[in-house]
Formats: sequence, C-alpha cells, structure tokens
Amino acid sequence: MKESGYNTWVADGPRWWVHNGISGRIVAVPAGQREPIRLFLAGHDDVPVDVDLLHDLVAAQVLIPDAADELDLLRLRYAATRRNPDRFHLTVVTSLGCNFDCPYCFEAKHPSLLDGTVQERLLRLVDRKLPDVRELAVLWYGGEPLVGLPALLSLSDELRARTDAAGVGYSAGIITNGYLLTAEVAGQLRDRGVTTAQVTVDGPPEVHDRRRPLAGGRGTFDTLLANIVAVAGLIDVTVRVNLDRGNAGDYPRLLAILAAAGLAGRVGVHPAQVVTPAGRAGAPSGSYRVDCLPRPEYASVEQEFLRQAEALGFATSAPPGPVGAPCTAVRDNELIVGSRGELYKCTETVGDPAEVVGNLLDWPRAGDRLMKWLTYDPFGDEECRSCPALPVCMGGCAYHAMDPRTRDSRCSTFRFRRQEQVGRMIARHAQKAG
Amino acid sequence: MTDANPSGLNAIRIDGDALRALPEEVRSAALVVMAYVDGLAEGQRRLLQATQPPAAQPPAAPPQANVAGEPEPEPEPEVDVRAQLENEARIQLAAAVQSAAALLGPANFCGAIAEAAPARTPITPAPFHGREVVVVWGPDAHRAVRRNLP
Repeated sequence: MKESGYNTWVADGPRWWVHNGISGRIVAVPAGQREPIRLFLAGHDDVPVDVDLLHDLVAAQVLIPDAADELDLLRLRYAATRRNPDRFHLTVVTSLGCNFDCPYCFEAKHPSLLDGTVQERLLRLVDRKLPDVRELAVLWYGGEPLVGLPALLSLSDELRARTDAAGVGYSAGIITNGYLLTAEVAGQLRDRGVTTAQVTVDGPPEVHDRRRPLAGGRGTFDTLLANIVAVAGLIDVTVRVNLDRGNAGDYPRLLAILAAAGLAGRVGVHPAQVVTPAGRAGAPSGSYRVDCLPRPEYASVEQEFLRQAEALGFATSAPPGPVGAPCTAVRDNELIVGSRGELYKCTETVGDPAEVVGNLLDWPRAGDRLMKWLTYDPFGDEECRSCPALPVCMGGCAYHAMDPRTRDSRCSTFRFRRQEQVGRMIARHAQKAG
Repeated sequence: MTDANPSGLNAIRIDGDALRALPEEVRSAALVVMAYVDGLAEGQRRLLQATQPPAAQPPAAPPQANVAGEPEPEPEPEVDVRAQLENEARIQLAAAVQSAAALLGPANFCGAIAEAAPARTPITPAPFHGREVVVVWGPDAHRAVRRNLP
C-alpha cells in the first residue's frame, strides 16, 4: 500500500482532514493516527493503527495499491470523458453583434444574426444526432444572445419539439450581459427550457459602467441590477465578476450592493479572471492595457472573494471536484455554432476566422484545426503530469495552454490554493451536515 | 480509400506514393492520433495489470501428521489486513476510471464566459472502446490500426 499522489492534508485541531483529488472524498484522521499510518505503509505491522480508518482511507483512495499508476488512471478517465457519445452539447451564437462595448472583450464582433438558413442547417444536424443521444444540452451565447432573441425562441421551440418526439432530454442555459433580460424575456426563456442565466457585473456602478458600457458609452449598472432583481425568481441567475488589476479591489462594494438589493440567497456569485491575449485582430482586448492578474495572484483573490460572498449568504461555485476532459474544446460531441454557421471548439475563439474548425453547411467535414483540439493531450505536459491539481483540472484550458502568452493561466486555481479550497470543502460539508 | 473492418473501425489507408503527396499537417495529425491510441492501449493494459489480484499461491503443503498422540489445536485464522486492504484498493482503482463528473459545455476557467449550467452528472458507465484512428499509412496500415486498438 502507498499514499495517493493526489492527497491534500489539512490540520484542524485534534485531527487532520485528508482530501483525495481522484475520488473527491475527504476523511477525518485523528492526529494520533497519522504516524501509525505512515509506519504501516512503511511495512510495520506491529503499530497501533486503526484498521477501520485504514479501510475508510482505501475507500476514499487516499491509500492505493503499490502497483497503481494514477497517471494511467487519469489518462483513461480523460479519454473516456472526451468521448461523450450519448450527450450532444451545442453552444449557439444567436448574434455575434453586441449592445455592449467592453474594452477587454476577446471577440472581434460584427453585427450578424443567426439567419433562417443557418437555423435550418443546425436543426438538420440535431436531427442526425438525436437517434444516438439521450440528452441534448444547449448554451445560448453571443456576442449578445438576446440581441438575437427571435432566433433563440424559435430555435428553442424546434429543438424542444424534436427532443420531445425523440424521447431525448433537453436542457438549456444562457450567457448574457443581462441588459435585455427583463422579467418578460426571462419568462419566455423559462417557458422554453432555459433554466440558468449568467450575467456579468464587474463592480459597483462607477467601476462596472467604465468596464461594461453600452455601445454608445452609457452606463448599464442600474438596468442590470433592476433586471437581476426582477428575474431572480424566474430563472437561476449567477452573477459573474470579471477581475483584473483595474477592479480587483472593488468587488466587496459590489457584493454589499447586491446583498442590500436582497439578492443574497437568491442568486449565485463567482469571480473570473480576465485573460486577454494581446493583439487579437479586431477584438477590443487587443488594445486593453489594464494588467491581468497572474494566475497565482488571481487564485488568492478568488478565495477571498468566495469567502466574503459566502459570509453574506450568496451561493458560490463548489470547490473543484474530480473531472474528466474539462470543456467543449476537447470533447468530441460538442460544438459551437457561430451566427453564420461557422463552427468552433472553444468559446474564446468565437469571431476569430483563424479558429473556425468547419461549417454547418458541410459538417462533419473538418480540417486539422479540429484535430488540434481533439488530440490535445495534457499528459504530454510535464508540469501537468507532476501537478497535484491534475484530477480536478485535467490540464485546464487547452486554448491558453497552446498559446505561450496565456499558458500560465491555463491552470485550475486549485493548483495554487489547495489547502484553502479543501478547507472550504470541509466547511461546506460541515454546514450541510449541521 | 475508406475501409471498414469487422471491429467497426474506419480507416483511410494511404500507402506508397500517396503518402508522399500528403501535406505535412495531415501527416503530423495522423502521427498524433496514432500516439494517442498507443497511449490508450498502454494505459488500459497497465491499469488492468494494477487492478488484477495477485496470482493465486499454490496450496501450502499438508501439515505433517502428529504421530505423538493428541492432535495440535487448529491455529486461529489470522485476518491479513494488508492483503484485504490491497484487494479493496484494487477494486476502488478499477472503479475510479468511471467515477469523475462529466461536465457539459464550457468550463469555469473559460475566459470571459463561464460556468453556465455545468451539468455534473456521472459518466455513462459504458466501457470505453477505441474507435479512434482516422488516417493511417504505410504498407501494413490496416494491421497497425488493429494492433493499436485497446
């Protein structure tokens, strides 16, 4: 027997907690048992070790067979989840045009709505997939997807009719800037199976309005706050806060404003890191001059954000658990459909002609741009192979990993803040139990 | 040329002169795919090895008859904790391949978007099987593909 290479030990008074990244499980270990366990693993049988505890540690994969190679296991887990044959996921850009003009946006946007021909092709693709899947999941995306609301609603009706007829599950969510997400629109979305909405608010009014103005320059904070309050009971809303050096100190005031508006307990909140690959042709991010946070520094800001949000009563994203292939880009039964029918694998590449992997018109014909995603292998990366966060990250962002300018931001923050994140898991667990 | 074998594998065989006509990108992509399948096959082989119980030991020689008279008392059967734990751990390891959350859609690390409705459902417990290779070449291409299938 030996210890897993993916254990994180956290001291807690008279005991330790040990978390295993592969199983995602946590076991309490009395402080007095840690040394006997070590001796037992070193081959000593005559030590006062608690045998029941050993069985618990084995069940949680904290202890593993001597011959086990956990990298092999993760490699297989990655491969098994990269293939997702019975679930089909589509991210659909209903409008590449956007009513906002955010200076850090990575999309080279132009006014372009999903037209009838593209919709028809998309439905044809879904028709081909439905006999082989048991679930269709759709994410409405942009630009700003609500600028393309008519296409979103009519496509939703068609997709739901088809999945109903085929006995296939259907689920949908939307990522929107929130400006057009009124109660009426939220009701229309909910009636069409859209259950979650992510809205981004970047700080208190003066900060948010500087970072996320309307295309004419007018502020958007007041409208967003009113919309979120109005729709929080109709649809599950998560407020995302994009952070860089320009606003990393401002989120406490935002959280206070959201709490004062009665949103604690009604919406979720989570931070995200702004990463702007310099010089994307035509994208605002190409000339964005505010410093992005290095990943380790962002990891620290993130944990403090979550701590403050939870203290105010907001739901936050769960600490990371064991995953397989982590995103649409590297899984083979998922596609992003651009407003002109062009296809992508990574949401961050939408609007970049150099990243188009094919077109609905002749899919599944595709070129080597698709191969780069489907053959991406985090296990070829020495840092990933030796990283204790690998089971919960699985290489992280392939897009960032492939670009030397953004490579350092590919990782899960678990890599830098394991102890704290496991501490959060324990606290959440205790809260649920108590 | 597209070819299907009884395992359901589809491969495009490209041999000889045709190989030389291939663009470098296609050759590179094919190499990556082959390496990927190799890795899977090797990974599965090694995982299977690690999760098999050790080979059964030959039965111990029968105890010598006690010719002096009274039979000796049977020794208490000892529970071999270490062996039990090893066995449990092997079972856990085999199950662990299929026990991660399989997400859908973009991930929480995605740039300016994220974490929308990540449906955390268990992986379908269907066994993984490799139907991977798209392009191979060489005089023995088809056999090479079969050899590399897990």
